[in-house]
Amino acid sequence: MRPVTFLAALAACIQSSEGWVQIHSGTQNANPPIVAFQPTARIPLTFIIHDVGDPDITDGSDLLAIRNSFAAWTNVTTSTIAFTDGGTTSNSNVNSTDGITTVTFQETANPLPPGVLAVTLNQVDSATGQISDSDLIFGDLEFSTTGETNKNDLFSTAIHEVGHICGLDHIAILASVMYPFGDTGDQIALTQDDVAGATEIYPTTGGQSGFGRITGTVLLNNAAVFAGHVVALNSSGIPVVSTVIDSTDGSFTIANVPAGTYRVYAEPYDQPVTSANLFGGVFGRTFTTDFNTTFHGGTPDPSLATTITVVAGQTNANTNINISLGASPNLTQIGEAALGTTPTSLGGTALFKDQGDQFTMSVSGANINATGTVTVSGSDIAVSNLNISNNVATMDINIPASATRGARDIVYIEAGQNSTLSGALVVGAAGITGGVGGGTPPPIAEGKFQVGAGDGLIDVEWIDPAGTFDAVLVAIGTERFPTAKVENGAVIVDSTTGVEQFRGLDGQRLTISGVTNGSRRFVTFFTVSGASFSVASAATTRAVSGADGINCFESFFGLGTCPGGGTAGQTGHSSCFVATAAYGTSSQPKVMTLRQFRDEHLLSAGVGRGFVRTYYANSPSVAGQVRKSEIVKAGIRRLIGR
Amino acid sequence: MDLQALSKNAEVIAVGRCTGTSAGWNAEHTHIYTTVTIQVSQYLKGFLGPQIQFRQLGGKVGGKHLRVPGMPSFAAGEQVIVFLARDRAGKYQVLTAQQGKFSVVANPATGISEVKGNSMSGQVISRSFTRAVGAPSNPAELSNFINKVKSYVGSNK
Repeated sequence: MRPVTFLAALAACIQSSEGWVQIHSGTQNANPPIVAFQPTARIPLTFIIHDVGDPDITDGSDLLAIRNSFAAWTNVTTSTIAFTDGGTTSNSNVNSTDGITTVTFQETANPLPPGVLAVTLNQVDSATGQISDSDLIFGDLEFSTTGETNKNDLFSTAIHEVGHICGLDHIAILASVMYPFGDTGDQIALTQDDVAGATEIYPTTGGQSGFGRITGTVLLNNAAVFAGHVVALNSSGIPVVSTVIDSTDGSFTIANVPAGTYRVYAEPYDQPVTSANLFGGVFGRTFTTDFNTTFHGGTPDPSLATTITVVAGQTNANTNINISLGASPNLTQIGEAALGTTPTSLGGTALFKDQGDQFTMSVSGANINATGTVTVSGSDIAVSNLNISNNVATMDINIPASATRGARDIVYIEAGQNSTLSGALVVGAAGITGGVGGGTPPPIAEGKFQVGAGDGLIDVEWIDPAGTFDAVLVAIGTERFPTAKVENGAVIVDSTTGVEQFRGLDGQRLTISGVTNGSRRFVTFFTVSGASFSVASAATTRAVSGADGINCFESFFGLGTCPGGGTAGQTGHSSCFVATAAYGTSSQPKVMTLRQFRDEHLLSAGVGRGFVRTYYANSPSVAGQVRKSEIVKAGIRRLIGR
Repeated sequence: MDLQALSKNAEVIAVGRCTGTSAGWNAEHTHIYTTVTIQVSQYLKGFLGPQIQFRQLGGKVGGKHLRVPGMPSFAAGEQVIVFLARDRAGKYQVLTAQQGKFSVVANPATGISEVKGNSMSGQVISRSFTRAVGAPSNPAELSNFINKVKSYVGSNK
């Protein structure tokens, strides 16, 4: 819902029970509800950041993390939601009536409650749901941009809050960005569930054509009941898209479900997520919560559930779920420890593990007992040595190296009973041996890169056997680059800042070591050909974990070469960051030529627009690095053609 | 923030009934705030008199609704337990926002008053009120809850 044109958006948003859920406004029991959204006229939203940023982070990575969090939503290719970096401001206070999206760590006029990490303010018209102003205020707690486990990851906090700016409210899949709880050290990225939300509210033309929908009603004794959230579980056991029921008639729509076979279940808001976490708590205690996790087909047993097939462009209607009242085993908490060691601390946040990991896991529930069993959704993750006592189930988990990546449910089952923690275990990649998602490396123009096998390092190798390019320049952020070495090549190092860029030819490798577990990186490749250079790719990495490198590369685009000569007038309002950094001014003719190329060629094609989105999402950091190095600036000026 | 941490970090812990809420613009007309009034029946920590008033960001005035996901909601007549602490301006607010507010409701099956809220267990450091650490604790009987809070408060003296 909420498509490109505003009138259509207004009409479409008046639907009930969408997947995930939007922020509610107006009368709490309005059916359909009044839900919040950014009007088309405000998109792209320009955000500005208080120039001090986080006073405790002084290397600029705080501002970059915030910019990247906005960029992550901008980069949802099936959604028109987009944000533009409006730079910084010296004003530390926000105003929810000025229409400006301001981000600040030092709101002094209207301080946040103590102990709060961050808050999003949306000024909503309670009759239409239109948002007229959004602001993001961070609290006094400690943030990190380097994956410190005892601090709150700034990017992860910000990406959640920006989801609120998009109009999304909390949901109940633990792995999703919009899940209301997190833990220090957690690093999260958008899931399909989050993407589905942004796509439904702000769909691109044709952006939803690859997805299907599931609709139905939760029923108690054949009467609609206001109860729970509903999840579409795919054949690999991954809870792909959920819906939070937000209408008292119990109807639901799970939108933007990828084609495939699914089982669909309803789960009560009986913790970790409760009604207090949803809709601002406006529905209070009107939810029915005393039932077991129940599948379409009327059974709590996943193996007996009715399977449905979702076809792109079609709706699976009447996927009703008949629940029965009764006490739920009520799983609420989960924890992990080294294999053979009993976890000592349980919480309500997802476990982020990798393919090949083995560990001991515990889950707790008010009504679980030794007659039950615990499984992981899907068939490829083994549970062994299960012991249940004192309302805690402890077991060993073996994730095979071949396990399907993605979130999994943790399920407690005994006769006629089921309680599910949706998306409580997230399986990541042990290491990438190819390109995007571990598959075959895609071409970057005529060259390509490879990421090395899981050897404890991140290895990047430039492949250009035809010699199409004279060189490739690799820049890596988002924060102080750790140790790096280049085999058979040269590395440019700024001895003052420690920033390093790699310039290599075919077959040369860049190896990154010393990457902190859980830290986040992005890599930008500049191809060099004669007097021209181009940003060949901006590859966003996330969640470096274990010792095996990068979990995934995202936002991967290939394109041709930027022209390196000529002059042109300025046609765009935003700068070519890297080139501007190299020349020190955005009015230099070569910089203006690049802008013209962007506006006249790249922005006229879909893939070009995608590239521009990604480039502007990532290049500010690269530009920052370029600014710090006279050597690099000189090199880029030479490459562009002086 | 778990219950122990809430008990330790709160300056005031009050049991009472919400007698009303009132939304309005701040003096600068930059934000809508909601003022919450609590008639206190029992203090578990600190003392602010028989009635407490505090204000929090968000609320609805006319057709304008400042929505703040994660902010606790209060309803007139609602029985609550609130954990309060002073903000940078020295004003009392609900500690960690949503986590520092508990509702007291009667179990429809037993009639016994139970406490339900979003206090976290298992972790100590607060994440945020929109992304909070750990999992909510299970409902507890009011008397047990009060005794537990008192024990935490006592152990931190």
